Amino acid sequence: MAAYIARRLLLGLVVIWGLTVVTFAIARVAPGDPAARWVGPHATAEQIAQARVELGLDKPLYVQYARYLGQLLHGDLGVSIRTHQPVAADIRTFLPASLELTVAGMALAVILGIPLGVAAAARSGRWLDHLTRLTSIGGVSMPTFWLAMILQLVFFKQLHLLPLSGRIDTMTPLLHPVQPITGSFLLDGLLEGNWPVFKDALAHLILPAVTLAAYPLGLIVRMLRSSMIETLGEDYVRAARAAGFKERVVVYRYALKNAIAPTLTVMALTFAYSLTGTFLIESVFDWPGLGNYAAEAVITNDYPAIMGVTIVVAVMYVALNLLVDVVQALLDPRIRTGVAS
Amino acid sequence: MSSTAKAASPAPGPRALPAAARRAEGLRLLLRNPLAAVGGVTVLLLALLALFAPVLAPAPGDAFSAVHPAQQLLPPGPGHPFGTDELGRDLFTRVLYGARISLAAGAVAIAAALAIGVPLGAVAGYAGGFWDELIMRFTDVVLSFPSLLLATAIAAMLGHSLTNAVAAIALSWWPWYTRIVRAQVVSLRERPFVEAARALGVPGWRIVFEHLVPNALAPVIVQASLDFGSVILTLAALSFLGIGAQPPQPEWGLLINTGRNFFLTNWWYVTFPGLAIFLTVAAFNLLGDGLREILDPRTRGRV
Amino acid sequence: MAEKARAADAYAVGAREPLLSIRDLALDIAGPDGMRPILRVQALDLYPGEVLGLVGETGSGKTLTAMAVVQLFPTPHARITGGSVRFRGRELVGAGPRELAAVRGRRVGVIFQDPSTSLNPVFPVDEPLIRALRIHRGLSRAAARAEAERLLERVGLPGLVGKGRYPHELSGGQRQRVMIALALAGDPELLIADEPTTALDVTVQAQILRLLAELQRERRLAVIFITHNVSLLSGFADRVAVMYAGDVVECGPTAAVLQRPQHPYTQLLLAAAPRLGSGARRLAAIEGLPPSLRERPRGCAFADRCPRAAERCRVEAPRLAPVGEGGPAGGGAATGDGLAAGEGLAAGAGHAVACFFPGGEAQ
Repeated sequence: MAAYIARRLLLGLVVIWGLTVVTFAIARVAPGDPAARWVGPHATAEQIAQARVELGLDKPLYVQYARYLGQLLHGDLGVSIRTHQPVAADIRTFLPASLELTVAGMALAVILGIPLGVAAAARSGRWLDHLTRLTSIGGVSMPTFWLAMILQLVFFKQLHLLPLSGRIDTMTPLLHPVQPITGSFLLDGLLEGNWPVFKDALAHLILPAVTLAAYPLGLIVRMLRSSMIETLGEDYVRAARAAGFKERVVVYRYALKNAIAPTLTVMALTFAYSLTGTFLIESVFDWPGLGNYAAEAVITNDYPAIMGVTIVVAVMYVALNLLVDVVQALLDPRIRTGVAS
Repeated sequence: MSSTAKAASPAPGPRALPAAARRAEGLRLLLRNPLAAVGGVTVLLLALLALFAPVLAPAPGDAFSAVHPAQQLLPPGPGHPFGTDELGRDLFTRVLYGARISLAAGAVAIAAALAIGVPLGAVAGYAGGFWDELIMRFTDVVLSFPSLLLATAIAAMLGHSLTNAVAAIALSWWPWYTRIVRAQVVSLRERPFVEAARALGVPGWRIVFEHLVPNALAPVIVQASLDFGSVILTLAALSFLGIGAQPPQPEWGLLINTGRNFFLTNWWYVTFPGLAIFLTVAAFNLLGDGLREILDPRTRGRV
Repeated sequence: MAEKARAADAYAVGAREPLLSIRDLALDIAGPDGMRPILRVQALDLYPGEVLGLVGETGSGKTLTAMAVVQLFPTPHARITGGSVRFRGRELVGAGPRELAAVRGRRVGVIFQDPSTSLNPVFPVDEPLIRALRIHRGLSRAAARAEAERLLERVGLPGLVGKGRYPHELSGGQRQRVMIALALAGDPELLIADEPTTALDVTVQAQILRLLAELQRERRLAVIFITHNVSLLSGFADRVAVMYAGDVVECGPTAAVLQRPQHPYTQLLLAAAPRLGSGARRLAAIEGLPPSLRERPRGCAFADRCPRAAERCRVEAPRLAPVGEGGPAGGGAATGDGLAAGEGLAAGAGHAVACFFPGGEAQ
């Protein structure tokens, strides 16, 4: 088991190193002079030349790459052109809000997706199955940013049920002060028993979380349904039924533990997708997170910020995949002991 | 007829049927799968709508630049089934022309991804050794980026335009095809017809592109058609972010991006372009699901 | 009248109530073109404590017939469409999930053909066993563990409880022993063994068979032993039922069926059977193939391959009917004609055959 994890970890490091090569390549191969981009459109030729030396762009490519890698290793992602702050500091500021949103969306998708996928598989070919399949195809086919606006139209404009945007009403924390513990109004409100803050934060979280959950929900249901159908046809499931176990135990204990493995990979995949999906919906919901930051960076050509966010999210993605590999090994003794299935 | 078809398939499986019969069977199964059939018909319909947009659109002049100050932000009604935008342009016309952009751009992006991915996969599979390792580890790295993230980063760096967005999608999408082609080529490499060609002294590149690639193409083409929906969705996302299509192009994602500023008071502005994306992507996904089921022998029986 | 009396005599042996009684069982499989008839079993009885060998070629419907008791078929598309399966006097056709659950594991244990696919790969092997003991015998966790230990020791696997051993760490024979322990956990009266040794090495086969025979005697189990290898039956099975194309064509005491086979199919089957230990399985060596179950013939299903087939065999299906007591019944008037459908069918414990021209030259 330890050897297995060590091997995966090493592989993950190699991939992360590869990521730095790719981001470096994107940043350097892109048309236009990075130095000119750095100093902005109104700079003089002299300023550009000076920037070129400052940025080390007069050195050979491999020296530039070594410098880039060295900066990355020190957690230096450059300085944002737009905010004039270190990109790393910006990311630290904005990432928690995005994580809160992503985790809430994923939790929603997993909590709904597992029973739906299992139920669809158990009733394969019947109306519930067809309904679930249609819904899941709908979930993966819907542009999230559009869904966000449609939900706003329905639940804010028409029904007046939920707030339009933001993380919390400006007034709420003023009237009911919170001590920042985790940085998440929702969690802090809960931890401190500050119910007005908790309720308000929750109300603000619902629409963005539902929006973000649509795509992963569709994927999880689809994936789990198909792997569950396959598993339910296995001999050991028939044997469990023959042993007289309750259908609920057969499906949710004996079959699900086998069928969940491929779905876990999809979950890791969609977590990263959701984190990227915040690029599209945080601006719609005015959610002060990384996605909003990235969307702003993208339209204002804030290259250091774009590349910084890219590498941070990609590294998180690799780490998450690594985690899934480990969890899968824990679930399946055959992987653990290195026996091919 | 049937005997030549039989001879063409090298290894008849247990269900070996003449190719024509197999195709007919596939079509029958597709039609028996109601969701897939709905998807297929919708795709066909959308293609026709896109093709005949200039004839069908009530105001073809509104597709790109036009200003009708008297007709700004009119709700849906006779004459403007989808309403009008902030410049008074007919939204139905713009959405219809948007179909041309999305379908064409999607096709170009996938073709470009194939053009990068297929040769790389073929070389990796045929050459093996160092080149195989190099190419496949590189595809692994590219695949370790969430695809939307990589496409966004590339599109942002290339500069904001529809063409660059299409290029960015292709650049983030090719590794999938490289993997499939490599696996196919590796399995075909040791077949007698390849060894015969090698024995005859046919140069390696000719073996790869005249013998291996054509034989490896079928599963890639299938995967590419399955990817169409995702590619269209990604393109709309890039345009929505402002780094894809640029005004006055009537691209769906861009329409929604512009409509954002008006949608709370003018619901139709974002609703219809979004529905267009949703319908198109769902149609491709339904069709793709059906295709996958037909091609997967494990699910074949239980349509 | 006289015929009926004779028929009744033949089944007088079975004065006891049968444990399991199958009548006119019809089972179809849903295919792409609608329901396909697979089984049309006229009659099959099993008495308490009795070992019934169910033999036939692959695809003859042995497994589906036996699994009809617990209604767990290898394919989800199988449906019982008619007839009756009575177990301990209870009708199971049309029974709800509750009644079936009361039977599965508790009254009927099942051993499947391939132990490598029948054990859940991601659970330790003792886990389902402990669970079964807890739910079927109402044991506490500790008592169930102790009982599991005892049961596993009995099947030859001591010291396996609480060790976190997974199926892939066991050999094929060990896995089948675990399956046997699991099948016996609920202390059932009936054990269905579906070719329990087919997937195992020859030497292991013999060990598993010996274990099954011992357990059958110890626990007075009724056993349905499914096999396509007739040579495994003598010495183990009390009675044999031969299946062909979804129906029982001959059944009776093992010695009678094996030594004086009446149905031409049984005769060919025995002639083709290998001796024990010869290893080769050559059951398919009979000319021709069973009829496609789709175009089920109007007459006898075996007519096309039968050396004795006559005009009548192609137009009329023979019913299962008793064989005369005095050896091969040359012209027993009752044979083949059977009894009026629905009335005390020709099953029971006696020797019965579904053929218009039974007996004759047995090669």
